[in-house]
Amino acid sequence: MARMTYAEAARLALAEEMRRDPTVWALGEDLGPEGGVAGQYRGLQAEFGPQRIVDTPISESTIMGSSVGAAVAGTRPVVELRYCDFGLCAADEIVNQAAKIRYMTGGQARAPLVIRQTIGIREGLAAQHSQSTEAIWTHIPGLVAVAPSTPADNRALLKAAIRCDDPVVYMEHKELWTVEGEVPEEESVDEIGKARVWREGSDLTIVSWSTAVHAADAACHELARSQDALSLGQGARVRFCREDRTASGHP
Amino acid sequence: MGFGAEILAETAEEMFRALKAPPVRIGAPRIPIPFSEPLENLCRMTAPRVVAAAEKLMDLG
Repeated sequence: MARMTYAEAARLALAEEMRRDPTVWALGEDLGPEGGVAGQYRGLQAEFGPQRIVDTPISESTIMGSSVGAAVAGTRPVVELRYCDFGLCAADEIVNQAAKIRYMTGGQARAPLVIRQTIGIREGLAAQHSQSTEAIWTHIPGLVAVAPSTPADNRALLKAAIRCDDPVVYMEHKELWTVEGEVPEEESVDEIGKARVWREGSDLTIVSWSTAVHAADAACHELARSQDALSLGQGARVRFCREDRTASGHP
Repeated sequence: MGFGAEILAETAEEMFRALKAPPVRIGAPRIPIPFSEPLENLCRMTAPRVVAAAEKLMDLG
């Protein structure tokens, strides 16, 4: 196991996929010299060049529209939209184009792309930069929605998202970027659409995703402690499901 | 509201008779996220909120 942050795990995943598959490339604002808002693209332009780590103007609809075209033409774009709030600027290209193409062409065309857009609160970013829009994307047929909770998830699920043949809305959480965790040394690609059981039990089920998984984990520890203190039988067992990958419309 | 609503709907459809109590959703309040730090914190998902909901659900008082 290697210890790394959620951002470092994502960078590793993208680098591995770009080395493995020459059709994988990334585009968005400030990916090159800046390396992304959280350093999740740091060093990648130096390794892969400006033709595969592409800096774009500030225009989400343009970024997304060109990505849909590039995906239909046979490449696998990783689209960086920074904040899910800005993803709404590209809603037509995501909802009316990317999500529909496979269906409307009877499967003759597909749009294998990953739309990265962070969700959630980070201190003081206010109403236009703090939203969690997963409910919107999970309700659009044709889109796959993913929200990783840990560094290990972010490596294994980003790789799965890049290899997915349908458009994936990939929602990292802003407050998880600097969170560290153990990531397996060996390469692994997670299965999209399957929840993981974090903790077995029979009395209570908590279903959560993204950063809420960590709040639920802490709550389980607290519940186990307080129930022993209250002498509630053998202590209630708590089951804790983690629903951090939801595949709406996934084939 | 929220993706939690879909999870609860599926739970009710698929395993209603296995439930021991009415399920609950915990999430952010239905407001734009405030800039003010104390108000922003009220929108966060925290362990005490999960514990409080679980204790009420399981009638642990």
